[in-house]
Amino acid sequence: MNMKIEIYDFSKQYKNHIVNIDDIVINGRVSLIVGQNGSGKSTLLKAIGGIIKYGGNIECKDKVCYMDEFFSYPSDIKLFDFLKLLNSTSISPKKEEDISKLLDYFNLTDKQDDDIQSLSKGMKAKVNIIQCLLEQADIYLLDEPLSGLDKEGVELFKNYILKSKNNFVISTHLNDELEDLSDEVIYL
Amino acid sequence: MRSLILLHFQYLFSWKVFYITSLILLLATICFLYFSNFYLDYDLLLFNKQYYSEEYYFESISLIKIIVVLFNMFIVINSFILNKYDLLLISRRSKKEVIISKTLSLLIINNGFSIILYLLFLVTGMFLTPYMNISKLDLSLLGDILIFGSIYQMIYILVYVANKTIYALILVIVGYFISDIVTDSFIVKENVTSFSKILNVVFVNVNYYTNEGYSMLFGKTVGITVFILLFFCVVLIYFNRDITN
Repeated sequence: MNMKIEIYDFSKQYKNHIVNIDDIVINGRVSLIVGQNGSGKSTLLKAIGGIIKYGGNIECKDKVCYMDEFFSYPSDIKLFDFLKLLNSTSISPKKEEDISKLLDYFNLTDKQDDDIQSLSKGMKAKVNIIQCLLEQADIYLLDEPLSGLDKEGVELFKNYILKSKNNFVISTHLNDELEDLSDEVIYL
Repeated sequence: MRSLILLHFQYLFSWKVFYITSLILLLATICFLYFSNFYLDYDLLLFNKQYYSEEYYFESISLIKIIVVLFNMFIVINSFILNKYDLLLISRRSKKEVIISKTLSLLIINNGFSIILYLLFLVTGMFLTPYMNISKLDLSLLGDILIFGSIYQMIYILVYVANKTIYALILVIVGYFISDIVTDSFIVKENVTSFSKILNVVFVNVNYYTNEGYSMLFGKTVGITVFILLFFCVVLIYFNRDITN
């Protein structure tokens, strides 16, 4: 499915600085947003995801799902139960077998009965990707998805993106890792 | 909405939280036991029924109010500051649904906790003293305590959502203590000073008035109205603010 995100006169005012982005159109199936720290990669993704207020105009007709780099995990809950519970909050929840498939793909099946807090940083990074992919969306906005992933995790993630028919907008500062699978690279 | 509330509960409840809450309830019960004077001679308690009853009520209600105010701060910190997960839900549901479900979850916990605390106060008095009996089951007072707790919870959420800093929550505690010190008990309601009245619009208090017994200065209707207004302010501010992890 072809997607198109048009961004015009984008600006976001923070306390000490302003993020200004020139007009851009994102229309690759896999688009990388690359830039230095503070260039506005995460800000742009959050704005597209409708999470923050901004100046300018963003046109996107497709359903998007935003994945943040960090989030807190609850205590005293098994990994599978957490994903099941999170999935149930969705307007169009996926089947339990879809959770199992994703856990299996990211080699976390043997951890599904473990307390989510006991997982390593890399495993939690995989859980973060899984929870996002569980949501039905046309475009996935992934903020630094490689953060915390080991080599095996990076490869699994790259292969998933390659095989997937969904659209991805990925912000990263490790563009070397993902450049080969992207359809376009946007430098901020 | 049910699934959202269940997820909020999952973030709010852990065994650690359960143990600490149980410990708070245990400490409160020990205080109620002490306030009840049950260790004094039974005949003495019976003879000075009115005095001991008033004393038990005054000390226990003061304690319940402080515990409810602090417990609310604790759960708001747990929900908004220690556990940052709103972005997980905003990708799935609207901001309005997220904040409404979160607030409802906190209200359920706060009201459940307040009811248990109030029951412990009643049971302690009923079983151990001659001056409390089942006819003293004051549901109106319980209603006042629930509205009192709910308003403070809304103020905490509002202050945090508007300022995004944990230190802002201290304002609410200071507000409560000023209101508690300034608002006199054991006087006729009409004699309350203008300063107390202004404070009691937001920093509500449950006090003993000689003409009405324990009640809020402006009554339940005003209390519920203030609560609803604060609730709408919370939703409005949350909706218009950036959500960050």
